[in-house]
Amino acid sequence: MSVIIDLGESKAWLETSMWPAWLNDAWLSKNGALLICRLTHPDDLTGLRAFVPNPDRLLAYPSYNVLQEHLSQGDADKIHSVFLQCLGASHYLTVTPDSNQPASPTPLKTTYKRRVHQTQKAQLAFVSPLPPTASGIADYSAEILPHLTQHYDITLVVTDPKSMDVKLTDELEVISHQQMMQQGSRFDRVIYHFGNSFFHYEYFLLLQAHPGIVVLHDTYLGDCIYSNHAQFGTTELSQAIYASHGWAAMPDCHGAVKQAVGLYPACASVFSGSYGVVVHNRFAREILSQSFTSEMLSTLAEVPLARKLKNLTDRSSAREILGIPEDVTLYSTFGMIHPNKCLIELMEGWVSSGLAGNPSVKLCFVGGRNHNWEMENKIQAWIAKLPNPQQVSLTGYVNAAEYDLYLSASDVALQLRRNSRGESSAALLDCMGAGLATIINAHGSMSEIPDDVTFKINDDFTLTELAESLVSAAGDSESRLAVGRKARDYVKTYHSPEHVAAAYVEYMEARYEQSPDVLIDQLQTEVLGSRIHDLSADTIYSCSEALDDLMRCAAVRRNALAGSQLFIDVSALVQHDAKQGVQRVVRNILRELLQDHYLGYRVEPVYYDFETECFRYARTFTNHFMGLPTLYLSDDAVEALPSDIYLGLDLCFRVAEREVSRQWLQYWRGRGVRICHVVYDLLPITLPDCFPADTITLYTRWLKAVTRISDCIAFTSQTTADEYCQWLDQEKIKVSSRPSIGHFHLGADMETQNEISTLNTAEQKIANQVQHQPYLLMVGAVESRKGHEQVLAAFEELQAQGCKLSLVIVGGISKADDRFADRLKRLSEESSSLYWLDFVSDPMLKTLYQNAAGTLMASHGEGFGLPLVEAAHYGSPLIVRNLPVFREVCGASAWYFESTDGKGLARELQTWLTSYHEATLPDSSWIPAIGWKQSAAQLMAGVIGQQ
Amino acid sequence: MVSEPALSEMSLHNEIPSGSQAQLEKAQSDGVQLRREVLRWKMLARQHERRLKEIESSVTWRILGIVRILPELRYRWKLLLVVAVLTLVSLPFWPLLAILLCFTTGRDLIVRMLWKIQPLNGLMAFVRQKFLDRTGSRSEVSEITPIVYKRPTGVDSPAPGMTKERLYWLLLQQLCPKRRILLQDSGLTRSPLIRDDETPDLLSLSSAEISVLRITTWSRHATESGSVRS
Repeated sequence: MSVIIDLGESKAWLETSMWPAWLNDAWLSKNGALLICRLTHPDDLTGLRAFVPNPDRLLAYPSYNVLQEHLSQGDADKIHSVFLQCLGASHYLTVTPDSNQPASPTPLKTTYKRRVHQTQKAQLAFVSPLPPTASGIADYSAEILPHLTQHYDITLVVTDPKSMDVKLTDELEVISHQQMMQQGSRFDRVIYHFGNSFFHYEYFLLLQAHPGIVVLHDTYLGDCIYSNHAQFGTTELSQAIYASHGWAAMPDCHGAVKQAVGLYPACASVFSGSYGVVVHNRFAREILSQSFTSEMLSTLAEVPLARKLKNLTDRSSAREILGIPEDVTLYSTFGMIHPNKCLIELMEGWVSSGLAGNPSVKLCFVGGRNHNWEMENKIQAWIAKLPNPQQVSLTGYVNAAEYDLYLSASDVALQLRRNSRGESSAALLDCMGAGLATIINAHGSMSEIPDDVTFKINDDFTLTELAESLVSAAGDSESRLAVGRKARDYVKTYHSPEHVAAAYVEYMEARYEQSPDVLIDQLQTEVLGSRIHDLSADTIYSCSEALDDLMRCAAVRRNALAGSQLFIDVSALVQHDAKQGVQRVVRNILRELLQDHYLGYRVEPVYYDFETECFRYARTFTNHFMGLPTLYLSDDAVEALPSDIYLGLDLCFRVAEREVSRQWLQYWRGRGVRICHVVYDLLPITLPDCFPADTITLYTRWLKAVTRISDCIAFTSQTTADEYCQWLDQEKIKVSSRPSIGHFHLGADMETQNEISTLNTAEQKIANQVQHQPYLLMVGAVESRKGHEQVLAAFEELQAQGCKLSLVIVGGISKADDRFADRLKRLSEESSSLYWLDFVSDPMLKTLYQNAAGTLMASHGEGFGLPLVEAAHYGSPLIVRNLPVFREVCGASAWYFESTDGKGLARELQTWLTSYHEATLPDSSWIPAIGWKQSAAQLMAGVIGQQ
Repeated sequence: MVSEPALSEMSLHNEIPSGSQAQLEKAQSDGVQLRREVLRWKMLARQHERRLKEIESSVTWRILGIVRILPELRYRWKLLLVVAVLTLVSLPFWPLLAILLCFTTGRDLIVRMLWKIQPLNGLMAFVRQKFLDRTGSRSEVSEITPIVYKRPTGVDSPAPGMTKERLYWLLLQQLCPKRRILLQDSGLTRSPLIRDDETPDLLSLSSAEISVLRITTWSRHATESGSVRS
């Protein structure tokens, strides 16, 4: 028994602060209970989570003012009823703060029920190409239609009803796609037969308007989507691949269309838009499972391909018509000439088997070439080399009657395959249905055929295997006939149109009965569709958005984007790249994450839009960031499902600190989205003297907010994580309310995209200039906490002593006082040994690191110290202030100084210079530097793996 | 199934039945029409791009930008008053300012002083914002213009007597341009669904769009079959 405990409004609980003693964790576990609560205010979530016995059993959902404002109480009750049904519990109980006596859950009553069809038979719209359309799916559909008419009143939906087969139009109503778009709502059931050709292009839009069951005849739909390239170019294909496979797939769409079409199924929209999907075999499921999550494929069904047994002419008559002698053993391969049919291997096997020299056997290729001139020429070349070229023939295109004659006349069929994409072979079923002994390789769906009904060789067969199989099939006519009989029985049993139609009916009825989407669509269209006369269009849109979001809280409403999402917040970077340390980290981590799906999550950069007050997918930014051609994807509002993860990677205080933006994070967390943040340092708290008062206030407010709303916080060093723990103790934050804490280290490599760049003339000139004597390098924004002032004083002291050492400062002015900035500027202009470079490119920085006598880090506090690992990566010795964070990063591989004034530092630098000249400095290359890939992996281990 | 050589597929590229010749010609003609349409859109897009570049680069356009925002300044009359008073008061110091401007340090001093006057700062940001708005940017420091389909809001609330056709059209306007262009010939409405200045490729993947489309088709059918009041 699973129970929903409805807590009602959060306000009531937080006001009374009373919790029924009997409703403890043990009771909740015993009853498999889920606590649901409507958040009166988003920030109530924090209090509520601290209040309930087990926050993991709490589902808190928003109040949705737009629904309350525009819908009646009756409609609100219907919505609540559907929401409860979607949660899938069997029992229900309402609990208030004063429910002191234990109560028994009652069976869940459904006040809103699924629509039942009014007529005796349900009205079914059958959307598929039909004869005379030149498509295998058309023939297939024609075969199963008669068996579906027993269960449904069928209306056929085709591109052009006028060109339909008269036999079908006489028996069934036929409408066009346009009529379907207009009248589709009248049908109780809809079934779509999707294939990978232009016949099916319009089905995508029809499916969006009138959802139903989809039969996926081909798992790859790229060709179908691209068939309208005259209108949309490659954009539509790229958009579909993005929706199905995420940003990681997008670089592959950059090149040849064939590559993208061949690599990605691009069929997520049929899953998100339908009530259920059917494929024809297990192999198709396996292919889909390589691209999509098991959750997405949970309702996928396998229904065999239907194939009617043909009434064939007898063997002798067929041979007489075709002019083939009775005593000849005829091998045939059926289907278009195509490289995927292993026809060259077949010719090689034919020669190896010795059959090429046997006058009593013949080989026939039954089927057209379909533009595969090259393949046909290769086969012709093989034939020409045979001792008896007349032994092998190519029929070219044959009509249905001729095709059947060859089926009757043949003794052995050869149906070999490679590069299958999940299709079931109709030609193979024809051969087996004709009782032919068929040689197949265990490739794709053919591997699922029982071993005793065909002559099956390995998927990657050798020529010897094929040759042996050819000989044995010809040699023993008894066993050949026995295999043929079994094959015919197999097709008759498992692939008969009756059997397949029954499987369709069973699946379709089950899905329409069980799918929450059916119920939600019914509710949404009824509640909002009946209000189009009194609600404005944008109110209807907002209400739909809210209703969809509520159902997403119950994890039943699918997004157009396939898979669980990992939201990477780049709110600051989208607005402006300040090109400082944090932005450098964000760019590098993001670049790594976008290259792959981390543990099955699709990475989606998002940002908070302060204009419309919602989170949006950062599609335009990511498109630009990845250097892709414009995809024309709108930065839509983020749609979060309970299995998703949010990672606040970018440093944008306003997002978590402001109540309006924070509410989204609270809402997401309430439904089960894991909220994570990266905290780069605690400097405004640990070094308050270095920051303006308003920054400290803002930062503290932000850190408190992040602590309240996060499930996990990742720090860039163990030291910062420890400082945070101390702060939590100081703030007296309860252990139970604290987020889990982890840390990761930053990458040392420069940004990949700039690796090949070289220095420009101006940079080269500066690089040459600074190298005239040894120099110390300081990298980082010029601000008081970085210790520039002390270093400058020490440097002036050294200069006065006649020391030959230059100082190169890289970093823009940030928060420095005007006097110091003036001094630095003046000194850099006056002195030939001091260089202040405001901003340098990555190649320039790399050159400076490589040629520096040492890299100096005099900062009074850092979250990590990115320049240290970069410098170590490029072999520069390190001189750093003795701070715990630097000890953590550099260990014994750096030279530490203690002085806090210029003179002291000058003395220590003199000592350092002696060691430098004696080459006895600690070797920075011992620092265990990691790349950004490992850095991202460490972060993800904490965020996703919860390590 | 599709890539499988079922019999009827084999005829696809080998022989064209004579009856299909007309269909093929029609399809080719439609294809040409579509390509022309695409070319037209591309030309429009190029024109827009060129225009934006002109705006960004041309001084004339920038001046025009300022002229355009002048009426807006009336809402900042207090600020303008402060500027006017300061200008008058500072008149005797202008020769000194001119001298200062001749030197780098002097220029830096002036810039730093100006930057510290908050109202001026606000005015500068306002002017800059207006400039960048002309070029389509959403904030003064943004480097990329986010593409967001901005749905019509708060307009054309259903008035008594509004035709059903208009109601469906309004609902469909909530959909992104790409979905609308695909729906143009669906028969849901006779009115044009897309304007010339919209990007026909722009796609929104919002689930609510699908819901609105389903609501529109459902209510259209329900209204016509008389099950919903009109």
